[in-house]
Amino acid sequence: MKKEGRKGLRDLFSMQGEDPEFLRELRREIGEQEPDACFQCMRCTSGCDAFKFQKGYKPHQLVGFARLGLKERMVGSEVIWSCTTCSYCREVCPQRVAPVDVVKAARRLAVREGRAVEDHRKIAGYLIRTGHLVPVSETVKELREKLGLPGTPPTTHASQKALEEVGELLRRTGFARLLGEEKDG
Amino acid sequence: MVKGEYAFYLGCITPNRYPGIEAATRKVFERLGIGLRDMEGASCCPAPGVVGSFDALTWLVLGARNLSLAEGMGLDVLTVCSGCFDTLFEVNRVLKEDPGLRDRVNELLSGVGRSYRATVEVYHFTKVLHDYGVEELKKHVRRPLGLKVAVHYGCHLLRPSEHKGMDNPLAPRLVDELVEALGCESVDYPSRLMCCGAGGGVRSAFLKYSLEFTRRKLQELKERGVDCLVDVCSFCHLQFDRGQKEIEDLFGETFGMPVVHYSQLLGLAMGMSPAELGMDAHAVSCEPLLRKLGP
Ligand code: SF4
Ligand code: SF4
Repeated sequence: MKKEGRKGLRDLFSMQGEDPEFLRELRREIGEQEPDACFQCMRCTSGCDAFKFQKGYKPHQLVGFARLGLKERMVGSEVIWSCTTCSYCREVCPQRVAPVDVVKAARRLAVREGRAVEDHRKIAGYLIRTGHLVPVSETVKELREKLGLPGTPPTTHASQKALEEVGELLRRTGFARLLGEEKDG
Repeated sequence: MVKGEYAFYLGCITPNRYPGIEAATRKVFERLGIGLRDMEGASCCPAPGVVGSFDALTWLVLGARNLSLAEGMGLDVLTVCSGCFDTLFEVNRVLKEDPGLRDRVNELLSGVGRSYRATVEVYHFTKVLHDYGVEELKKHVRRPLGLKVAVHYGCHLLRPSEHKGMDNPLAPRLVDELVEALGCESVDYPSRLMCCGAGGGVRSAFLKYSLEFTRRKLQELKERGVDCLVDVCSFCHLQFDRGQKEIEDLFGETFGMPVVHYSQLLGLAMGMSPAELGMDAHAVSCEPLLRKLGP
């Protein structure tokens, strides 16, 4: 990129994206939060535990990529799935940016492009089939009864009608198509 | 909304992995004279970090469906898992604030004969207990516990604090006051506010990496010689309890740290037996802790 302005100082607030279409989409996806106010102080990254344990994960960098519209560095990188969504970054950002929301937005765009992590597809399948990301098991049913609870909890597990409602909503939002396993489709 | 009674939102991990937390919650609230009613046909909240990372509309619509069940009962919602709390609280807030979005969600809900007017409130059970009053709570303590505990706040109880506004997110006291009410000492430790490692779909995608968080916290607790870790979220509970077995397998490190959900700790202090609180069904034995308490 060409350096502009006096002494090579670039105006950090007017950087232009490299992929305007992606930028628009990302911004829509981010929703309430504005990544533009970020001045790359790195306070988010310095307190981020994902940064401590996962090499190459830096929330301030992802916010920077978002502002520049560097699509592949975001949706094309598995590193975006390292965030535990702990929201610490959002709490400490002096500019009221929420890096966590930028990361989640990038993930949703990745999923939309069919780049969901395989294990996530699996648990999404549980949601579609049972209404729960973590369904009950026979062992737990026994434990529930021992505790004086109904073996089957009073959730979608106990109501076919409720389960059908959830299934219908997942079809209507496109979730089932996006994350369902082909063979179920 | 009727006070003194709540719609008890179960979620997934509580009823389907740690029903002891469900049993404990039902029992302690009954003791306090606060009613909990089942939300029949509720689904996954859906999980904020997982489904919220897949598709925003799905997260909103399933959340709204769950909230509509409570609205139909005329009750506010109570949760014992901070993930569920985060989703239901945030979905509710967004739908209250944005009528346009509410219309869009209701259009989808009408396809299954439901609607949500955004009239309920969503509470985490620690907030309900704290509002009930620490002094009032003490009156129900039959057996002051005298334990040295480490509180794990988890992430989604307090953060993001902008709208939840329950306590100082960087120096909280809410849960410390609740454990102190039961005669426990709450020990400070450096990673007090650190995530358990499970959130955001990290546990299912990268188990070993997610356990790095868990392990770091457990190391600090072991050094400080605490009797147990106290959590207020069923997902954190799973990560610390089952996670210790996984850490043994993947890192060859053993902690033997009992993991107790606050509903269970309160039950013990009220004189309930560990078995009726499901504490004999944890992956990590609670025996050392129970021995210290005596008969
Ligand atoms: S803390 Fe805020 S302003 Fe600083 S780098 Fe992170 S997002 Fe940007
Ligand atoms: S929410 Fe994600 S990016 Fe932000 S501090 Fe937590 S792990 Fe790091």
